[in-house]
Amino acid sequence: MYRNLSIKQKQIVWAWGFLAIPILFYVIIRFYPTGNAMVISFQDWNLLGSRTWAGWENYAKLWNDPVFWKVFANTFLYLIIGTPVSLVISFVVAYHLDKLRFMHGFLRMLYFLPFMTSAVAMAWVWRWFYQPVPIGLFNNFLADFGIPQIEFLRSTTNALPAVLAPAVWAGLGFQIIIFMAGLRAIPRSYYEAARIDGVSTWTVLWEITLPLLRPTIVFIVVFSSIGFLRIFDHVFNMTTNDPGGPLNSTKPLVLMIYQSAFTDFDMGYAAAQTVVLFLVLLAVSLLQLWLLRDR
Amino acid sequence: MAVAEEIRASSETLLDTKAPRKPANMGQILRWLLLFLGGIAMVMPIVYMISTSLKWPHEVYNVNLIPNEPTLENYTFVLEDGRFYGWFINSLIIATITTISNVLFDSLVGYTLCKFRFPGRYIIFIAILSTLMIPTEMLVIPWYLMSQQFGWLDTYWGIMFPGLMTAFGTFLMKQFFETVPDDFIEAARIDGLNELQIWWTVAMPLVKPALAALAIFVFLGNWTAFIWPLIVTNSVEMYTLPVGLSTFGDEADVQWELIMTGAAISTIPTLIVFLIFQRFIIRGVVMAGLKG
Amino acid sequence: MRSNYSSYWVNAITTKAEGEKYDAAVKFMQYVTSDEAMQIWLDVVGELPAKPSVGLTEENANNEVFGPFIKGLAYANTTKFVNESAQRQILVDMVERVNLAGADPAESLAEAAAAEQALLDEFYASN
Repeated sequence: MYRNLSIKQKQIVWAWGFLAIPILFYVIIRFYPTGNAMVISFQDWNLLGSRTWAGWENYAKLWNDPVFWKVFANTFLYLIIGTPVSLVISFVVAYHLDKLRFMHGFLRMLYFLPFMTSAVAMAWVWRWFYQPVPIGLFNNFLADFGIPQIEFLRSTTNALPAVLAPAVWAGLGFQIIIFMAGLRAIPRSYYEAARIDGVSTWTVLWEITLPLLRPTIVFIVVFSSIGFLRIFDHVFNMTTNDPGGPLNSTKPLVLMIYQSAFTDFDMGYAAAQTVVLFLVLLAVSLLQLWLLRDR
Repeated sequence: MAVAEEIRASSETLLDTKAPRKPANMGQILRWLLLFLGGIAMVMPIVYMISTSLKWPHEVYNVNLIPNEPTLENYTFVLEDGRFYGWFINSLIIATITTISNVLFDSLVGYTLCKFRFPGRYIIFIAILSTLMIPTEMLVIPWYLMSQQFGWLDTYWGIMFPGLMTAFGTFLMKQFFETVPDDFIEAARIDGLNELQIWWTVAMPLVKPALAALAIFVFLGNWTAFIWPLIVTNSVEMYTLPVGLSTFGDEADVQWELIMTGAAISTIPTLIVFLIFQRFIIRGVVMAGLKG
Repeated sequence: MRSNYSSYWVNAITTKAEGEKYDAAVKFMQYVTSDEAMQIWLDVVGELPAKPSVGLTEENANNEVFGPFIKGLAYANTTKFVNESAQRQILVDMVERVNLAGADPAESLAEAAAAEQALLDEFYASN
């Protein structure tokens, strides 16, 4: 039967044959669970008892839960601090590194190395850094210079930036490399022309480099924003004795989802939070693409 | 992302070109020094992790970088316990199988979507691409329920199944198969190769660099994956390295030299791989970053 | 009102245990719940026996060390955990409100009590 098909028809058979398993995978492992999560968000279920319809109850509970609003604010704090800080640092490093020849590869390696580490391992390393004297490295250094101690993790104001720092640190290497590739892709002739016209370095940076880097910047902003909105590994591991604490000051949305689902077994409530996370990610990505669109 | 078209296709190779030679004036020297200091600061956490893992407990609270009496005692202690071996093997198996699966399936799907003309092609492409917008965290609850129902909890399959194929990898491979000339494929068809053979023997070798980039990303991602293995495993023997390390950290409490040793054990392998294949990995990261 | 605090351990056999393992588990449970084992546990470990037949023997109840504790069990209550980690968190937050946020201890305690009650109410409303 296959023999009688035209070349075009044979191609169609092959194509669907190749796609059969992957389509099954995407339907069962991606699309069905997405719908399922949305359905569960309208149910009341603790894994053991019966599943009952709850209507908008889970969402109403979320709306009235002060912890949720705290968590929501934290999640955006991670984004609002993390993204600009890592963007600026990685650009400055990439911009200057791009102009160096001597030991260029070695310097690049130093900056990229943290990207190859595991978030869990590094969360524990940084957790140790943050301990009070005589344990923690940072406070020991401060003590050596006679500077008063800083409470990093046991503080409602310092804990969030302290947890964020290793996440920014680990992501810098990737962003620097992407920026350098972007910088190298700008045609040299632009700079030559600017040099002949005697334009200052600052003007070159603002008028040529940054506008031409726009696609790279869009990519890095979207990519790192999504990463910070989904922060979990660092928070979980740096606050195991008081998850998301102290007093919920470091708790991001993903940790709240994890706790609702797998320590409180309130599946419907957790699913409603995941739907919120999904909508937030969608909104932030679309907003950024729109803000940074080509005019 | 649409970014790809706007940056010249070969930007990853541009990284290997050198900056124009400039006279070593004060500005350049200062720039080099500052970047060097910044670079040293960047690797300090890793260096301190390793340094502390080589210290005796009584020396841990000193800020000196080089241990006075270096010892491998912590490694012996942590490894003798036996659990880390198991976690290491688990992570290795899971990351390896997932990587192989992604390299095969993502490229097969990418290839099909790129080189075949058939009804429904565009819809399938959009459908797969749209899964990029769904965060993993939204899927963990249904995955957990699914695993519970089918008895996948606490098994390798349970840890692996969500990551066997990725939309990111599929998209990356599709982009790269665009660079394979259709003439090559036509020629192979005339030579009487079937479509599977064409994909495997003609197209795949031409996109090796992209396959390598994909493999690096998938492997690293699964080696360090935390939230799903944390949810799906519940016996100590089935933990992956990150999950094991997390529980170990809690258990070791204030014995920071042991925690640093555990952290080092889970970090050093990827660092060594990076140092060996550095140039190659950085190029892969750029490829994946810009085209994916 | 007289009240005393106590907590207890529960040992059980999982539903997955089968055959030889199940039989061994049953045997072990029979042993650890025997009067003999509980007496050993008290003498060696120092934890109070669960069975009155062991606890209230003349000798144990008048023991210089254990006696008062054993007598106290008559009016002891244990915390009912409906969600252990959430209830622990309420206590942790109560202390940290005072330590880190400078809250008034009495107010912090009242807030914790309200949170605990809300948690219990929610649990009993749905179960």
